[in-house]
Amino acid sequence: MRNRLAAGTSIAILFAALAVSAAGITALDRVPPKARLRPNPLEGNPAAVAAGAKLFEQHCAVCHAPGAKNRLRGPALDSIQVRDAPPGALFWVITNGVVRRGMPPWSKLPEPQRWQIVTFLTGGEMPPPAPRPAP
Amino acid sequence: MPGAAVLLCALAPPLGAQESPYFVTYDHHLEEPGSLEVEYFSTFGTQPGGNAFIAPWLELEYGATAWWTTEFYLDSQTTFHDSTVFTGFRWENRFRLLAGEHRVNPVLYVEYENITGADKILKEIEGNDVASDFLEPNGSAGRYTNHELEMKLILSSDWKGWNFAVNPLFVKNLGANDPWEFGYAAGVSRPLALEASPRRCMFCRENFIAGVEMYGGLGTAGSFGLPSTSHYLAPVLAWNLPSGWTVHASTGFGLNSDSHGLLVRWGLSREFSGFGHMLSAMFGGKP
Repeated sequence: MRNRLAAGTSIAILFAALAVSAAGITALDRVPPKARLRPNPLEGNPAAVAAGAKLFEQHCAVCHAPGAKNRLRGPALDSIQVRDAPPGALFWVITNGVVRRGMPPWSKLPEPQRWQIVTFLTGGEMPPPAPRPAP
Repeated sequence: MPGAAVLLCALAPPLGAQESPYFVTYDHHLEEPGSLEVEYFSTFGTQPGGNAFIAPWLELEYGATAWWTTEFYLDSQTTFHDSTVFTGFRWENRFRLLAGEHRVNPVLYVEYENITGADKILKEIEGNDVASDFLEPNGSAGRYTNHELEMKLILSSDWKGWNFAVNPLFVKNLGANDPWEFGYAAGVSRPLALEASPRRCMFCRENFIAGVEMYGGLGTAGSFGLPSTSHYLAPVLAWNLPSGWTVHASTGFGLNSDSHGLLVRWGLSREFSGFGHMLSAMFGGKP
């Protein structure tokens, strides 16, 4: 009986630890390695940045704020983490969404339009991120 | 209360729409969470041996979550040389079965219909539905009400800008001892351009999505098959305007003698983003 109780407690602690560690995982961390490696076919294309900005305002800004500057219902997208993310990872998140956290898959936008949004997010004119408070 | 909803619609910003062009077929793309889409559609149909009709309907489509869209319909129709009648309501729910995007994306569709025998919107063709069913005058057809449970398995795939969707249909009349009825819808569509132009524009090619859909009945559990069923082939077009409005149009052609010769459909829709969050904030909830 005591052994069963100990085993049960260990399993509960393990699940709690997994839950805590999972809470810190962002959508970008869940991207499969193969998807991360996909290159952006529109990288460095100024027209793609402009088109991506337009698409962002039309489809994404309602949750991620105009210009990607502030957090509304979705996370702010002007962070270093997003700007430095592999384009393939951003493309994968836009395509698949984060359904459990309320972001729908945006596969209804044709693939080139999703790449245009990625180009805007990684190469668009965005203000520098706000300084973080010292620990 | 309806006034408050109208006010919220006015305050909620329109979302850049990317609406499917289909009228009958469903793809796997659901409404964005918190968004309300107000849609007005109409079907004009020719009637072999009878009077043509126009059947308008209103849809209120709401994205409850990223995996659940719920929709409420109000149906009506006018039959020429007869009358104009309200024909009932429908409550539809669509549930995304798998998170993320897959080669084939399944969505479960469940709808309750409370419609009279005079309903003519032809949103789906089921069982042994044939054009001659519509010969009954509105006065007598409107006297009985059908309570139906309608289910579809939406299977949809996006590939290189094309959408392919197939919807097998299963219908049960809850108020009668009728057998299950079956039907189908299938469609393919594509935007006229896959890349967006950098400027905001009304007539850019990427704003237009064209396609074709086919739908019809497949008999019942007691008589499955094509005899005494109707079938339609319909080119479809959606024009997504930057203001958030979408214009829909379709001309359907009956494929056999049991079908209506012509079904001309058109519609207008507008999506209001953040409607649910504004409503929640209005009642003290978390915006």
